[in-house]
Amino acid sequence: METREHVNRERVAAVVVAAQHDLSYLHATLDALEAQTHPADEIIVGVSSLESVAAQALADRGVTVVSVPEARNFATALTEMWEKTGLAANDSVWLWFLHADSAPMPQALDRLLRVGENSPKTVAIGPKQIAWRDEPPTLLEVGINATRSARRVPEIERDERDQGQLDSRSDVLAVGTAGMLVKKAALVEVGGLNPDFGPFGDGLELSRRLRHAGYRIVVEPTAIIRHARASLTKDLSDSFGARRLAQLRNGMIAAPSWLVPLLWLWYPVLGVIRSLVRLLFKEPGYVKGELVAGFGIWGSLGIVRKARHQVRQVSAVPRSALADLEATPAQVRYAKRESARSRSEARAMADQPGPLVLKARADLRRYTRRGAIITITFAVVISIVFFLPVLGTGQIVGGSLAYGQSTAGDIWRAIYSGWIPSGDGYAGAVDPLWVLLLPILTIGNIAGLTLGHLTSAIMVLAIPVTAYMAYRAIGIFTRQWVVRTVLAILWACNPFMFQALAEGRFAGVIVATLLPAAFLCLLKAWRNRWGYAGALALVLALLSAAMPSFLILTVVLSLIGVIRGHGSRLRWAAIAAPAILVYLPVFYRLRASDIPDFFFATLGVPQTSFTDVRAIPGFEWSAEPNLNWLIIGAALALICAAVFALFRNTNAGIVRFGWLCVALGISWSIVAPHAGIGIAPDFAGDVTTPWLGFGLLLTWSGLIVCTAAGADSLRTRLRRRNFGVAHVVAFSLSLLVLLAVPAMPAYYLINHFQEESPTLLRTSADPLPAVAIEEQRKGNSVLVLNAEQDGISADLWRAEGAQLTDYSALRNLRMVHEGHPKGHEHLAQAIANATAGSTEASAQLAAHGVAVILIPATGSDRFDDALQAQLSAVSGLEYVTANESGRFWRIPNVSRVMLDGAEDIQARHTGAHGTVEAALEDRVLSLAQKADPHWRARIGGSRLEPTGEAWNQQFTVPANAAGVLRVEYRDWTVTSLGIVQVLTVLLTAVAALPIRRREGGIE
Amino acid sequence: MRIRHMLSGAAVLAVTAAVTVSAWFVPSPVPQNRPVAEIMPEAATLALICNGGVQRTVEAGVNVNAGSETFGGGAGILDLTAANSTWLSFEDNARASTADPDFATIKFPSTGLANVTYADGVVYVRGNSGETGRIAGSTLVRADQGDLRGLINNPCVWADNSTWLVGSDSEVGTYNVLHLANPMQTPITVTIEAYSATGKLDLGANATVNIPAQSRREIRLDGLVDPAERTAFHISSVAGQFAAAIQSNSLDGFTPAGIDMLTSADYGSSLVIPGVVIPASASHSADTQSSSLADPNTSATLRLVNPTDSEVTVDVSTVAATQSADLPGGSDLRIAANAVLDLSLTGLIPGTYTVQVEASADISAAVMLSESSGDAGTDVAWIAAQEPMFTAGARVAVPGTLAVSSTEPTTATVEMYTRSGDKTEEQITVDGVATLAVPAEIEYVWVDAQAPVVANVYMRSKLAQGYGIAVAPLTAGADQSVATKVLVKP
Repeated sequence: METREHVNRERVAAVVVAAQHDLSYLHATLDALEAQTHPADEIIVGVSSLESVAAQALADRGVTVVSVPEARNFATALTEMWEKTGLAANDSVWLWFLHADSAPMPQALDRLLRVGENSPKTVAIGPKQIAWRDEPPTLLEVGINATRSARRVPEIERDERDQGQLDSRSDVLAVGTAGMLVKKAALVEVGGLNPDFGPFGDGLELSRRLRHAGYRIVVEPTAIIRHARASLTKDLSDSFGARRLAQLRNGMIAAPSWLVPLLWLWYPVLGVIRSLVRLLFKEPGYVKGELVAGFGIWGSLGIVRKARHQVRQVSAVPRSALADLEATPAQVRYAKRESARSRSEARAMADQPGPLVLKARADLRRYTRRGAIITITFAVVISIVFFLPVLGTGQIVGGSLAYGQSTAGDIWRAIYSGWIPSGDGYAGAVDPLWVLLLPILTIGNIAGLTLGHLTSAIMVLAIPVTAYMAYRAIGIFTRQWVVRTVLAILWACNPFMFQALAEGRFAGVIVATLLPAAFLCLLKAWRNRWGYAGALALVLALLSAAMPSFLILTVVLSLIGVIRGHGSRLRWAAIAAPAILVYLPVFYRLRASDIPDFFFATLGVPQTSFTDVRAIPGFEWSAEPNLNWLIIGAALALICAAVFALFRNTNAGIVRFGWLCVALGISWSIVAPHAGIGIAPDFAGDVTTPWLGFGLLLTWSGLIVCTAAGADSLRTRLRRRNFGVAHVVAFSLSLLVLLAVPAMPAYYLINHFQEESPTLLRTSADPLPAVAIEEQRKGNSVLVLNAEQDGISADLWRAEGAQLTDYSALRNLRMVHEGHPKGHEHLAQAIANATAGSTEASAQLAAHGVAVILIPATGSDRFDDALQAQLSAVSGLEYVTANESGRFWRIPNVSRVMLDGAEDIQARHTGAHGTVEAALEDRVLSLAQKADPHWRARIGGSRLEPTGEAWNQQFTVPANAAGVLRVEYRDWTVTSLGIVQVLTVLLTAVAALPIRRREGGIE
Repeated sequence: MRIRHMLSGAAVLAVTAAVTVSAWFVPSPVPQNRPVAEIMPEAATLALICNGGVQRTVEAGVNVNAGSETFGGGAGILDLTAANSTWLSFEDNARASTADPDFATIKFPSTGLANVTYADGVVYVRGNSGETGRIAGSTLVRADQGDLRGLINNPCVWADNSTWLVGSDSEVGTYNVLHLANPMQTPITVTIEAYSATGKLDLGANATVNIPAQSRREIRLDGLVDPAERTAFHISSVAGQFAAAIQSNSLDGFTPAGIDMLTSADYGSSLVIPGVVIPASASHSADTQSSSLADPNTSATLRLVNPTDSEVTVDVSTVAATQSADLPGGSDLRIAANAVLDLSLTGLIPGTYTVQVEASADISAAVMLSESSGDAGTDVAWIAAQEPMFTAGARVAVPGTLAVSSTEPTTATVEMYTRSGDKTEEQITVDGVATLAVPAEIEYVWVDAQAPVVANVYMRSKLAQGYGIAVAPLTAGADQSVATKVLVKP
């Protein structure tokens, strides 16, 4: 062993910096310093506050303690210590950087120094870093192997043993500051540590500068330090933002100068993309870090410029001198692949099942697959038979389901503007359900997907998707494929699903379809399977969007999760966030009078509903009452099975949860009929009440969950017992439930096909004549009149029919509380005037943007003939012809924006644009849009004043006003809320995608 | 643990049971509705058309037993809109030229019989007059003897684009004249469809008729329509509105076999024909229920026309006073496509009935009353199915019986006016069928009801020998004729 007495070695000053987070390791590190075979000549400890350490005790150990209260990282601490201790002036040749949590092994300094002493060009020597707990020794770092953009090559696995596998290294691109032995003169020459880095990236930055100055950076693997890496934090995601920002800064410092501005612009974008990818791979904790780092680079331009300037100043060798030491992106990718492969092998090695287990697993997989195939096939057949009359081209409409020609763009415009282009238009909020479907619409936009196509597809797929999700959900409780198949079919083919489908109750279909998924995700998340958290948030948001009562349930579940659930409380709280945030624009529009009924409001054409839950067991809606025993028997079997489940110990908590759902569903169905949520669009004008199916679907789902949870391992338990009552009861109930499988769909299919006038229809090919479509393209409307026994029903269409977006839940509710808007009254009067030959009728209709009047061919000839005769007598209406669409008239020169003397105005759904010539007198600019305070109009940049008390928006155009006319609807609050809403949907959708969480080391 | 398990199970079951039971104690929701209200058109011009009276259809030949032809009667239009009721005259157009700019009349060239005044023109109302207009009128002609013997009433009607005229026949001895009037300022084309017991009759080129602007036409249907013992006509136009009526008179050899004016009948799957009077045999006293036997000289026949292309099933019932009853043999009647069916109402005990018809598709209907006066001849009166209304009036001019019927109990105010404008007013309760005698001096009645009613006045007048009968259907108030419900969606 060499000692100081025999060799005159260069002097070393050990510089230890202790921050608050690693202060607890300080004494152990100092002990390790004292135990060095070649001790440092001087030990200087920098601490943020002398009160935080026993300063006197340290001084007694011969350590110089310096207070560095202003230090925010190693570099700034060193600067303070430099000034306070005379480091610059003393005779130490080397500085040994140590973090308070990096304790060197006894021979570390000796071996580092020996390397330095042997090579004048070597000015920085790094040790091998292993984990703080050194038994067994776990490798952390042997020099820094990184790309030019500062991406580290993930060459060391998490918890990888140190077996000397990287001990052959010597020259490296960089070494970390923990344990770095650096020659003081070289450090001074290159400008010291960069104070803008640390605790991350400072070693790489300094090493690169030293390399540029022509020096060598070497790692000495025989010199070992134990590093606790306290800066990394317990949850790695907490420190990720700082690490990533350091990496980006280093990347920009090393990049060619022409690339710097591009990177400065690109990194924030990359941050957004990477944060989405993080969500996609179920790493929500890293999202913040990605965004902080990505956008943090915008404020780092000065830091980068300064650092690059420093590099240029010290640069003594060409850039290529570093290139050989830098890793390539291909190496990073290769290392990641290797890492994944080795993890996979490790898992396989750790789990070496025996042949019997393997066979059992294979059998289970086969049976599970078989059950899934049978379930889905059965559900698909039922769905095809059910929808047979309306399958084909076009959309499925009828009942509550209106046309859906809106594309993703249309919906986005409505969200952004807050103006719903329906009829005379109105300030409203797009239903959150359509907003949640926006990602699918956006992707499908390439193929011309409209909302109507999507709703039709969802209707047709509802039963199979429900069956599949139910199959998966029931798999939580039992692995018996027969039980899963039977109960999944019963869950999918429930009475309320069929009713929702038959009556076009789209919101009901969504709830029926998603309830199994909600149970699946909730139970998985409750069992700490966080891969399901995103899906749970999305499903709860969709359920809430379909029926706002679920919003309350979502918040309650979230609170229960926060209080009692496993895992992060923040995540449980975040589960309710999408459901709430997508409702923000609706909340903004809600009035106090709307609130009680709002929680029961549903989108779609209002339909009268069965209101007496007491009569449900009688199935009074049945078209074939003689078969009611089928459905009553099936329901009773399920109830008995659910009661039976209460007597078992298996899944007791789940069974009780299921029963609470049963009670909750019934409670909802008792309370809901007291809410008025819309007005049926017929002459009687019945105030519609919520569809009881929403509550009863929850009840049904609860019964299924109880039965499934109670059936778990039932067969095994019964086998172990002597034959008795339990066997008889279990067998009887199983038989009844089994019989319910064919009975339930058969009952509803028979009923469905016996309906004389089915509700669901397929849209016709030519609902409108070409001239009407052309006028709609110009922004005008088509007035569709249906003469009936009771009167005339009028639809003001801006597309090929009343649209799904026209019947928003909020608008339906508003009609109950506030009645028809003034625009409706004006239009009704105009139509009545037209039926009596009024000379003013055509002008009154034109004020609503009506350019074409259509009596559809589908109506009754008797009343239509009368209406035609009446319209024929109206001056200003030009009869065009009668064709497959019906009989129609034109009103010439109609525009949604009317201004005397101005012809060059292009109307849009939410505004207008054009040029206006000056006039001698004041004029009125009249919009065929409902009046609203957020309409804005400007001519030549001057704002026009709103005027009049009319139903529609009007502005006064002063005499001589001329220039470019701009009319728009702008409500920035709505726009902001809309953006939040859309971002919420986007992030939730990404987080919900069924992609497994990545496994990997520290990035 | 076991106890906890049992307790929690019992608790959830109890909660569920309690919630379920509570459904029987929570008050049921009260159904609410926001029915669509009727809208009265603004700035609309309404046209009440008076289509004249009887036209001579047979140029020569009278019953040898009868004396020379004598005609009586006259016309009148009473306007109750203004504070003081006003008798209108087409000739002077006084009101239009002076006080009320919303009011105008035109007069058609008169083609009537000598010595009888006809209401022959159009009353146009708009604005306030249109919204509150209570105008009714008619031409009533009494032919004591001769080929046209009988009592004929032709009420003024609001213009419409579709008129069902149910009645008459096209056999030899029957003469039909179609009266058409176009009140519009543009010419229109009307389409005539004729139905018989065996199906639709082919009218060839005569199926369409042009009517010049603001003019009237009379078209002899004899020879244009194939012979058929039961007929019904549908006159329609998609170009505008008009008024139509058919004068039908028959001769049995040289004996008058009945004359009347067919007026517009309702069309639909649920029809109501009010004021079907079945006289008692003892006498034609005001108390028609004094005997349980119907007068053998009278008869009543229900005519149904199914214009659809498929068979229609019909159920017929009657309402007398407060009692409703299915008509014997009137259930599950099947009417072939495009066919006309007659159903005898013989067997009804004397009284005033409302006949109700429920059909599986839209049809039209009317009831023919006939009264024979022996050798002097027979007179008939066609009562068309009527659309229920709240307010309506009729000119009567001869003694009669007002019959008011409603599907729901209601009260109605009946105003009766003499020629000199004296008014008497009576309140009647309508629960089924209510009747009110209209004295001889009354020339005008107006009914205002709380619920929709159907009503008419059965008129019976002594002729030279025997009696003539006619029915004056009530004409709806102006607003009733044009007010419409408009449902705006979404």
